[in-house]
Amino acid sequence: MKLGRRTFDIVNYVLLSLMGVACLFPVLHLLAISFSGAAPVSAGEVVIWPKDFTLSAYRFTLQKAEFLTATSVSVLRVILGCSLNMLLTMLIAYPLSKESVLRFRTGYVWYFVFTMLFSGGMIPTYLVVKDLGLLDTIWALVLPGAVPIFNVVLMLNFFRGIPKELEEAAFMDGAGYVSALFRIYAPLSLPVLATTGLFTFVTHWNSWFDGLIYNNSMSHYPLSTYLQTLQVTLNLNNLTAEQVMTFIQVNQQNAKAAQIFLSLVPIIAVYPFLQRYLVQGMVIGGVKE
Amino acid sequence: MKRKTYLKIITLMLIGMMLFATACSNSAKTNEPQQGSSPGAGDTTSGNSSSTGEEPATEVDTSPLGKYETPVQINVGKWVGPSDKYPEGESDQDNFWTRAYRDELGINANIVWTALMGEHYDQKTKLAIASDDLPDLMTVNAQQLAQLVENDMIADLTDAVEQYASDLTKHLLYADGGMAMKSVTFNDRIMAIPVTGSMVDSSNVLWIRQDWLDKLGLEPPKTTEDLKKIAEAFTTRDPDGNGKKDTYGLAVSRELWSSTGTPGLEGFFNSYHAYPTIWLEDESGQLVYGAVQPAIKKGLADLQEMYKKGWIDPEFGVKDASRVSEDLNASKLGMLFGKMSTPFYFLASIMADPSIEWRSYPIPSVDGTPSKTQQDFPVTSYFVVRKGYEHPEAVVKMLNLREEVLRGSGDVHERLNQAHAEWVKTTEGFAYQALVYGDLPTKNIDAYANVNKAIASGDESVLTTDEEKNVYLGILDYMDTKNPAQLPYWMVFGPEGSQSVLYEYYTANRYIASGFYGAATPAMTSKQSTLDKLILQEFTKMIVGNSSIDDFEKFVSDWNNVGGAEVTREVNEWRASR
Repeated sequence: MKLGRRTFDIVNYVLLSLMGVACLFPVLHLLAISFSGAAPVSAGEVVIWPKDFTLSAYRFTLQKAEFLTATSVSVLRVILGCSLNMLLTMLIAYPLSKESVLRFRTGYVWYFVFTMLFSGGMIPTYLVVKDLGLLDTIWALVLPGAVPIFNVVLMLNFFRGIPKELEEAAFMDGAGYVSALFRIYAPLSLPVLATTGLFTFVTHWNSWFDGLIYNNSMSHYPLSTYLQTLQVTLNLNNLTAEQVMTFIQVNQQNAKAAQIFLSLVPIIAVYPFLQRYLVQGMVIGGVKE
Repeated sequence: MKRKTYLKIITLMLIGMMLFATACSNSAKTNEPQQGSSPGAGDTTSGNSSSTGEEPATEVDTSPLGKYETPVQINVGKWVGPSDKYPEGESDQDNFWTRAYRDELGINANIVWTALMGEHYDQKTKLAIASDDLPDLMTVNAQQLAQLVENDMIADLTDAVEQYASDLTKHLLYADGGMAMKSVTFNDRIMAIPVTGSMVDSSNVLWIRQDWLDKLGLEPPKTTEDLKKIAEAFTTRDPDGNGKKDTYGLAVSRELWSSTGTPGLEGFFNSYHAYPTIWLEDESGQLVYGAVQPAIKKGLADLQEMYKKGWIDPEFGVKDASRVSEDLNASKLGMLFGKMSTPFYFLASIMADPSIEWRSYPIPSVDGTPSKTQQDFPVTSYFVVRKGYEHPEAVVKMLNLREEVLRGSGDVHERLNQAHAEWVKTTEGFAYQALVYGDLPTKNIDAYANVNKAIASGDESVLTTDEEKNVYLGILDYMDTKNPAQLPYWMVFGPEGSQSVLYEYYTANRYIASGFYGAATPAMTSKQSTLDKLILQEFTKMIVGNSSIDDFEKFVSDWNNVGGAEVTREVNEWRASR
């Protein structure tokens, strides 16, 4: 019995550490490449320790105007997008969590869930965005996904788990629905706020495809879309030597790695602080009583 | 009871939303023309352009470089390169070419969107086509061109080309013997302007580690037997002198075929007079696919032998092109069949270590007859004009102007050629490119010939373009200082560069072009990937010895059964319709 338990533990730990290594390895590899010289990188000699240590890739990146513009677009997008997402999510989840008060509640819930299951598809969505005059603005990246329904459901369920009595007490003291939401529910819902906040942050930071199709010029690309442009392969057959040379200059693998790594930094920085809420938020928000 | 009220409310809400949406789109549409007529280019005349567009043109100047009395506007969707830069104060909206179009032709080019060449650009054009929101001018690929013609979305350019094209433009468009123009002709109408390019540049060459060859005292291969001997020596005689048996004779990647200059086996098979990835004419005059012809068999048998003897990396089946290029940079491979631009993949190691020397040679031959290289159809993109655009001839005029500025002889050339040359020097990447352009098929080998004439004689006057001058200076710099930054010039255009091999192919007529150059046929769209996979799988199996070379006939009949026969039929129908 005891032995079986122990073997299980050992196997468990080995498997989990292997998975951990599998997740960590690509990041370390990237980091090592970003600190290495161009020659060992293209010869495939760099694994997880830099060779010909140099900071030139980072110097190159931080001087690159495109990288900095793209970063500022991404930062703006995250600020606008996250605040809008969080606000709308709360404003929708709160009333929908009031089973006895809100009439046609199920109808409303289905109305929202419907959009989770069916969408207009890429071209119709593009046409809507275009005809609303949003093309080439930051709003094209923020408004189409302003209400993440998954987060609404998560928050809705979390709200339902908060004792009604607290709210009733607030009403007795003269609070309305709005102050009840922002002064009672919000402070009590930190786990779910952190969870949904993290989700929206990561979504906005990582999504690149909308940046490509809703923007008409590369100077408006967010960081993730810009990073995508570094991964292209060109048809070299029809290029002149001159063109091939410019391509080589931008195709330095270590510079690419540096830019990708820098784009990871914000997420790596935020995760540890929000992680403890994440588990809590997911578990409680996922349970329906 | 209750449910009915729900339904009513939901229906009402949906109807309300639809009305709202229509209202929005209508208002946006009415706004559009106003937005369109105010490009930020800062010229005062453009306000008139949209109003004159509707009136019938009164006097039309049909000369190739005639200027519009009242300026016309053209909205352009354009690809950009990864490192494009305009000189200070200029942009894709305002640069040498847009100013020239405006001042010389009365055409206001308005760039409505840009995207990075390649996948991103394709995505944008796909979106523009699917949402029926084409700019007046953009480039598309062959498949999209066929789709646009079928859906009647682009303008017929026959009259524009016939009436307006200058002699230089006609020369450019028809320089390849009319193949490029045939690819844009549908039912005898010219539906697009091909982005002409060089077929010669897709020739296959053999790249060899010259330093290894010299060290082992070997001669460059003339026959495939020589090739095998060199492969053996490179594998067994320790060419890098590190005492370890860690090198291989011939580079092969998992993909087998070359893409954008990566190592491929096309050149290897060309040595056996087999042309695996193109359509060629058989004795009866029908087009047949190269990969299923009997000539392939001998090549496969030799590859199998080379693999068995260890002259090919036993792990090639799992190494993609980028892994192979890592091995090339790590000096593990001694030979490869590639293209003229292949040095790009091992440039990093040569720049770091000057003792490494790669040199290109013509492909060897299995017998006495000189082998021919296969060549791909060079036109992969096409300029199309939106149907309903009032001035389709403007696009032809823009091309006329570019040709005139670059290699004309009239007064426009006199005025602008020098300014253009100066301007090009201040741009980076592809920013120098005009909005409508094309290259002569022989541009690069001409450059090679002229540059080397200039090097031999010291007479710079034989150089015809600025590009040639830049190449010339780069090579001189390399010969003087061994400046590694000039290596690409040296390896491609130098006296022993890859263009010298291409020049030899061209002058000795050692090439075979693909007999098919249309858009993908219906069966190709649905079956091509299956067919390619079958070829890849069966060839790999035969090379590594998992199946015998005698299975080749079975493979051919499989290929025909899974769609090859159908594709062949369609390809021949396509040719009959030309």
